[in-house]
Amino acid sequence: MKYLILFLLVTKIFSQEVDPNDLINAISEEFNKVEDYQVDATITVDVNFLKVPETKATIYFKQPDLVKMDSEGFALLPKEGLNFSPTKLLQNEFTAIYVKPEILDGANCEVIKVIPLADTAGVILSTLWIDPDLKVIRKIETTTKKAGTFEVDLFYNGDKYKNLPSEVKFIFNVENFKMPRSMTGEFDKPKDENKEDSITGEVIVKYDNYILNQGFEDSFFEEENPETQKGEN
Amino acid sequence: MINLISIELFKIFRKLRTYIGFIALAVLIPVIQIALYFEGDGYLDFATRNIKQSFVIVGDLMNGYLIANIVLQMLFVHIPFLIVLVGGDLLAGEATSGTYRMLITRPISRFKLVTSKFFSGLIYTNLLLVWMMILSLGVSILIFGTGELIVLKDKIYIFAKDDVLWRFILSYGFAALSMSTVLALSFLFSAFVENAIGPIVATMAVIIIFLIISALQVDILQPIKPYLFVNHMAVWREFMSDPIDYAKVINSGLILVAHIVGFYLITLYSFIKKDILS
Amino acid sequence: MDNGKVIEVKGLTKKYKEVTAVNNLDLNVYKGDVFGFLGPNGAGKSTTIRMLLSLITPTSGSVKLFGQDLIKHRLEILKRIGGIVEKPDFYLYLPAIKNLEILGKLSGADVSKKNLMEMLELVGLDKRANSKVKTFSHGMKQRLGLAQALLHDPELIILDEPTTGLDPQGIKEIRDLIIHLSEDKNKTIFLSSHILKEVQVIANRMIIINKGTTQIEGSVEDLLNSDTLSVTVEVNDLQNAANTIENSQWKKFLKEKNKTTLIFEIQDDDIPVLNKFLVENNVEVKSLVPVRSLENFFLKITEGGAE
Repeated sequence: MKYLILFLLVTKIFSQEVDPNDLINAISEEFNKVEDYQVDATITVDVNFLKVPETKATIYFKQPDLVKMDSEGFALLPKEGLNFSPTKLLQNEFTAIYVKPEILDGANCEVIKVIPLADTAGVILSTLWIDPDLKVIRKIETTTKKAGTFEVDLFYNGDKYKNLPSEVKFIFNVENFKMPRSMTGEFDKPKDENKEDSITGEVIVKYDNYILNQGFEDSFFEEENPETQKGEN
Repeated sequence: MINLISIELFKIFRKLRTYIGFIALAVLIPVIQIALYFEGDGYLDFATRNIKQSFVIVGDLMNGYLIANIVLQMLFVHIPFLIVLVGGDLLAGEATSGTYRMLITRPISRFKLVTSKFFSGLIYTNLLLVWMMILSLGVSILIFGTGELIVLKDKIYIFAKDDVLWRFILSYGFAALSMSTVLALSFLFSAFVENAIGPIVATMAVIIIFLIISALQVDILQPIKPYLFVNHMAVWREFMSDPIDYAKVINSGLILVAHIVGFYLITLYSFIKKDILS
Repeated sequence: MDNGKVIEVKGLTKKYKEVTAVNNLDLNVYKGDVFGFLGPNGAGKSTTIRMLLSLITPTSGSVKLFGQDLIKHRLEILKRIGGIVEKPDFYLYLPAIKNLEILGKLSGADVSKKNLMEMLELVGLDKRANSKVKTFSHGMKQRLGLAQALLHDPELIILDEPTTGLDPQGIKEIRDLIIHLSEDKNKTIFLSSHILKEVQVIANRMIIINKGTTQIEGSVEDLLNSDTLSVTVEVNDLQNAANTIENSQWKKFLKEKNKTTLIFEIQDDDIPVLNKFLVENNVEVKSLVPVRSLENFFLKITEGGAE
């Protein structure tokens, strides 16, 4: 019995060794050092029903959650990729639970689970892999009410941009694409009856040429592309 | 032979019916362009609805390429009507007007006569497609500019701006082959009758019946589908895919070429044997 | 062409399923002939002409033109022939001169504007050179048909009923033109017609066909001279006339006896003699109508052919 109490105690002490809130705050603090940024994004989409060439876009961000995407031509980005920032993720009230340490791609990480208290985000649960040394998030797994689970892997090229990712990989569920043959006119092809309703997609965004703290006005983000606004609806 | 072809072309282009095709396209294509100018956003909304559920999109996919592709898609079914109008008349027209007698009593072999008419028909067909390309692609680009091309098929394809033009050129090239097959068929029918209406109706009937058969999802019809040439006519769409199934394109292309040559040879054989009674 | 035969047809036959349009036809046309090809409608004239011009293939028999086999030497032969088959048809949507240009090019003729205009002038269409053929009357098309047949200066001209549908003036013009071509230009002319008179006027040799076979062939002069006449004599008193004839040398020439007429078959020279005999024997002659038996014969088959 003594041993048992001791064990529980020890577990408790060790588990409390890391405070998830501290970790999150540290990251937010670090991220908040960046007032705004502009970055060139190269987007590669790998979704079964979607054949898109590699596209380039420029993304602008200003604290806390102003964001804008610009492109000479056509570009598309997962919704989660555009308005993703630790600040936004954590701006609502939440409960954080520390789970365990884990080595991710050779980096020491702390795994914590974040449960939003408010119902607004549609997020049921997020799991974060936080690198306490760099003070960055390396991986997020989010379970949402509607879109199922999506995963975000973040890669850093520490020397260059410190805590801003150089590459982000989004893995998510999308509703499958079914087109009536009367629309495509491809009567020669057999009907694809056994298409799944939902499939996994992957988008890799490479970020380059960050320009930090240029002091964007808020109004800069207002003149958004109407397409983008529609897209966010 | 070139002399003969130029005479045939001269005759073709002095006939009103020849211009029906050109005029029809000159009317239809701007109508589609204007309609898409106003309604195109709706089409794009529909096309990208699926993507927008998961993605944020910037940039406008409304451009000349999109319109050119929709025009080609829409008119591809109708172009045969314009082709057979001339193709069905090539031989039957001479019978109707009685000019067969004038022609065939000239010191020209029937082989040359048929061949020059056939080539003239092919030239007409290809000129009509060039005209269509100028109107649908050229004019659309002038009005709406270029950009990425979105294509809805079994998948959604979005092609980079500089990855589109060659696809159109090959598409039109293949469409020319398809339409040449239509011409060859109407030419064949044209050799057997003395009135152009017959071959025009017969060719369209064959195309429509074949299209219906190939659209029907009936098991007993499946084995014959690969033998219906209309099935191979729409393979130009393959160029609006990634990756392009070149084996399929080549296979269908060869089948169409075989049809064209076959139709021509049957026409030639029957025409050389034919007693001119008109 | 050592034997001078421009057209040599032997055993020519054309069958369409059950119908035999031309049956074992023989026919020779010599250089310089104006050859009349006579027959009622449906006798096989057009079918024969179509075979001569390679429009249709004979079921059997041979056609030699200029001494060469038509099937083997078709193109060489066609270069030397000009013709109209049935009615002259043109590209109605093109002007007369353009029609000539196209057809001339195909024949390898001189299609310079000068030559084309000369041709049109020859047939009296020079003023309508640039009118579309659809505005032409039948007679004008017929004349344009002649122009296209003459364009490449052929040795043999085949004309299929060239005067059909023309007014008397038009018929005369065409006849004069044919005579001009024959006499001044030394062309051989093959002329089909269903009118004996027309052939008599311009042809030197002729053939009459019916139901696809030859009925009579020869020189027009011989056929007409050796011909007996069928003379119909109308009298007031037939009994008296009959009795008079019965007791004379004319008895053997009497072929038929009707209510008021007697029909004799006699030679040309005998007509005045017969007339004199009847008058001297108090037979009142109301009329005396000589009809050539060739004509009679032709009339019969024409009527037969029209059935």
